[in-house]
Amino acid sequence: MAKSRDKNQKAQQQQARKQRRNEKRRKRQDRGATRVPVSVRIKQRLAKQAPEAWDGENAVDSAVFDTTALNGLAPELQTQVVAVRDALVLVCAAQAAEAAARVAEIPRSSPLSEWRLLIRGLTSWLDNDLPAAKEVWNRLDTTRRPGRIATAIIAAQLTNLDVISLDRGGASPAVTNDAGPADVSLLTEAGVKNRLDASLLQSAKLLRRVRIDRAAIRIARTGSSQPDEDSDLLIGPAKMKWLREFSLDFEDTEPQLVQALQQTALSRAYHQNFTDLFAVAVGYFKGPVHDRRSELLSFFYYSGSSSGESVANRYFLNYVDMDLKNNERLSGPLRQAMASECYHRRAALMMQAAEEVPSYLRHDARDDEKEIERLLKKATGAYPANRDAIRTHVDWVKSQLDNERLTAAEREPLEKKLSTVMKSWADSIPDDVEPRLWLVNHLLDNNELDEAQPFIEWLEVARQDDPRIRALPWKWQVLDMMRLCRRKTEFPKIPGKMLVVESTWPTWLSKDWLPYLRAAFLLRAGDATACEQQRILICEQQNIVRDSPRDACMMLAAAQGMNVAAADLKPLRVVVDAAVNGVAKIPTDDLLALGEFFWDLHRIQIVYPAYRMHGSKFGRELIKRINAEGSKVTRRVSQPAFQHAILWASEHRFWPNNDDLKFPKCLERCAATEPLIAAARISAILQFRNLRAINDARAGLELLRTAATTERDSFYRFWFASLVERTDRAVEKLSEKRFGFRGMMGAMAKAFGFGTDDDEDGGFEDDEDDNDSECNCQDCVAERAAAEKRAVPNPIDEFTRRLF
Amino acid sequence: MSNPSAITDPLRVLGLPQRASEDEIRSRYLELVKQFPPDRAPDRFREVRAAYEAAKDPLVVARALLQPPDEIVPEWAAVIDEQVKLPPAMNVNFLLSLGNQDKVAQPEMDSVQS
Repeated sequence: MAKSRDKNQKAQQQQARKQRRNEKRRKRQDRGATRVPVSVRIKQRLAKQAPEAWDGENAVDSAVFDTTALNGLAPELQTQVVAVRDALVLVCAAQAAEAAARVAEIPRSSPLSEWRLLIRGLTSWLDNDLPAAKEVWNRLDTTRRPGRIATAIIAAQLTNLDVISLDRGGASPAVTNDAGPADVSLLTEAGVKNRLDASLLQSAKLLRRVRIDRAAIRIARTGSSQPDEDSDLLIGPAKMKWLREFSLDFEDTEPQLVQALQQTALSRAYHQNFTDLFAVAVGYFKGPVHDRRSELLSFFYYSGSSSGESVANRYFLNYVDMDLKNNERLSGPLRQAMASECYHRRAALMMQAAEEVPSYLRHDARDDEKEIERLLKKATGAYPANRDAIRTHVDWVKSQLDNERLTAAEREPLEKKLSTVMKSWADSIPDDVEPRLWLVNHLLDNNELDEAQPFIEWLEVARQDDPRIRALPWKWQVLDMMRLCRRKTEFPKIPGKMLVVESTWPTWLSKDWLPYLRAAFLLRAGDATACEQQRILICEQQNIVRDSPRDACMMLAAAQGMNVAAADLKPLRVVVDAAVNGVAKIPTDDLLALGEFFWDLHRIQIVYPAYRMHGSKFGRELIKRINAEGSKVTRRVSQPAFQHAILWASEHRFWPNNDDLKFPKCLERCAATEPLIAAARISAILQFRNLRAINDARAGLELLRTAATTERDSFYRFWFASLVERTDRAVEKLSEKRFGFRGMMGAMAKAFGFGTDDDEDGGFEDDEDDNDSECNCQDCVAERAAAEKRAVPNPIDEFTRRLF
Repeated sequence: MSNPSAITDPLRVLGLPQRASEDEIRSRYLELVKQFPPDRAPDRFREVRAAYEAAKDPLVVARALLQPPDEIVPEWAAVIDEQVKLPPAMNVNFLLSLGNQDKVAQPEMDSVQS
C-alpha cells in the first residue's frame, strides 16, 4: 500500500517537473525568441555534418570513414586505411609526430598516399604554417576527398567567402575555357575559387564560422565584460548564470574556451570571501582535469577559515579517497603520486603545527601523532619512490627517538620502525646512499655484521665521495674485532685484526682511541697488569691526566666495545660516575677534551652503551660554562678541541630544555667567521626539523659554501658541502607555497580552541558581520529575504547544505 | 651542458604553466622538439629533452598540480585573448565531411551566419 502511494507521489512529482519544464520552454519562446541563437544554429548545422560518399567516389577514400567500404578492400589496403584513420585522430589531437609516423609506411604508389600528403599538410596548418600546408596540398588530386578537404580548408581563410559566386556560365570548376586551362592552384586566391563547387563553398563557410570567426569568442567578450552586481565582487550571481548558459550553448563546439572560462570563474570565486558564491561556482562549473569537482580547490578555500577546518578536512578526504582515486583521466602513476603528495603534505603540516604548539598545550597530541604516522605510511605506500615523503617519515621517527626520556621499551619499537622505513627506502629508491649508510650503521650497531656486508659492498662499488662511506670497511673491521672479543677462542685473531684496523684507520679521524682499544683487549684477555702499563703509556704519549674525564670515558668506551667482563668494567664505570657527580668541578679544558672524543665517536657512529647515561650531563655542563664565559669565549674559538666539542654539542642540538634550539648566544658572532662553528649551528638547525628555523641557518651559509671548496680536511670538506646542500634544499622547500597554509593556522587554532581570523587586522569579528561570508549585493540580499519569507531553504544555502 | 633549471623547474623550461597536465607536457615537448631538432639546435634540444624527462616524473607533475591557486586573480579579457590563439580542436568526422560533394543546400548554410 505504502509502495503504491510512493509510486503515485513520484509520478505526480515527475508530471509537475515536466509541466514546469514545458512552461519554461513556452515562456522562452514567448519572449520573442523567434531567432534561434547562433550557438544553437551552429550546433544544429554541425550535427548534420558527417562524411558521406558520393556516387562514384574512390572506394579507398570512402573506406576511411565507411566500414562497409573498408571491408571490401584488399587486406594490404585495409591496413593502410586503418593507419590513415589513426593518423587523422592523432593529428586532430595535435600529436603530429605520431600521426606522421603512423602513415610513414604507406608507399608513394599506394592510392592512400594522397591521405599521407593531406596529413602532412594538416600538421603544418594546425601549426599555423599555412604556406607550407598549401605547398603540400597543391599536389593533391582535386577530384578526390583529400584534395577537396584541403581546398575547403584553404578556402575558409578567404575573407570574402560570403560574396563568392559560383556562376561560371554553366562551366564546372576547373574546366578549360578559351584562355586555356583554368588556374586551380591552391597558391593563388583565383585558383582556390576556381576549385570551389557548392559543397566545398558550404564546407569552407562552416569551417570559417567555427574555427576563424568564432562567434563564441565575441559572445564571451560581451558577457564577461558586463559589470557585476557590486564593485567588490570578482564574480557575481548574474555572471555565473550567464556563464552557465554560455557553457551549455558552446560546450560542444568550443570546449576549451568553455573550460578556460569556467576555471576563471572558479578562480575568481575562490579569491573573494563569499562562501555562498564559491559553493555556487563549484556546483556550476567544472574544474581542471585533476580536480573536476573542485574538491581540492574547496579544500584550499576552507582550510583555516573560521570554523572551516572540519569542512576542509572533509573536502581533502573526498578528494584523495574518492575523486582522485576514481579519476580515470589521470594516469595511474600520476594518481598515486598525487595521493602520496597529498598525504605527505598533510602530515608535514600536522608535524609543523605540532612543533609550533608545545605538546602540553595540545589535548589531542597523542591522536595527532597517530594520525601523522598513518598519513606518512599512506604517503609512502601510495608512491614508494616519493623521496620527500620518506625523508619526512624518517625525520618524524627520529624526532620521536630524540626524546631522552624514552625508556628502552619505548625506544625499541621506534628503532624497529625507523629500520623498516629505511629498508623500504633502500628498496624503492635503490640509488640513494642515505638509507644504505644508515642501515649499515644500524646493522653494525646491532652486531648484525653479516647482514651489513652486502650494503657495505654496494656502497664501496658506488664510489661515494662521502668519507664516512669510504670508512665503512674500516668500521666493519673494528666491529668485527669487537665481535671476536666475545669468545676466548677467537682471541688469537685479535692482534692481526688490530693491525688491520690500525692500517685502515681514516686519516681524518684522531688515532687517540686506538691504544685504548689495545688496553681494553689486554683487560678482556685477563692481563690487567699489561693493561695498566698500556694506560700509563697512553697518558705519557697523549699527555693527559690519568682518570681525567676524557681518559675515563675513552677507556670505558673501548672496554664496553671489546666486551670486557662486567667485573672488570665496574671500576672503569666508577671513575666515570665520579666525574659525572663532580661535573661542576671539572676544568673546562677537560670537558672540551672529552667533547672532542665524543665528536669522533659521533662522526663514526660508534657510541658505546654507557654514553647515554652520562653524555648529556657532561654536555649540559659544557654549554653552561660556554654561556657563562660570554664574550670571553672568543679566545677559545679557534682551538680545535673547542670547535670539536661544539660540533659534538650540535649533534644533540645543544641539549635544549624545551623544543627550542639552544645555540649559545656568545657563539653567534663566531659563527660568522669560523666555518666549524657555522657548521655546528647549521647542523643543529637542520636536526631541529622545524622548517621555519631554516631561515636562521642562512647566516653563515656563504662562509660554509666557501669553506666547502677550500677546507683541507676531507671529512669537513664533504660535510660542509652536504650541509650547504641540505640547507639549500630546506630553504627551497620553505619558499614553496605551503600546501594548505591556512590548514596549519587551523591546527593551531584547534589546539588553542579558537577560530582563525582571516582579517588583516586580526581583530575580533563583529557580531553584526556574521553574514560577511555571504554576498551582500542587492540580488542576493533580496533572494535571501524572499527565501526566508517563503520559509523555504535559500537555494544557495540549500545547495551548500547538499554539498556538505 | 644543459641548463640545471631543466631539472629543477622543468615546466618553466618547457614554457608551460605550473599546473600543466600530462597531455599538455607531451604536446609541448613535441612542439619544441620540432622547433629545436637535435641536428640544428643540439644544446636547446638537450635542454628541452632533460626538462621533459624531469617533467614526465609523476611526482613533478603531482607537485605542480597540488599547488594552491595563484595569488593573481585571472582577468576575463586575458583568458579570452589567450583562447583566441587556440582554435577549437578539430573533430575527425567534421574534417572528413569537408570533402563531401553535392550534399548541402545553399539556404541552410546562410542561416548559420552570426
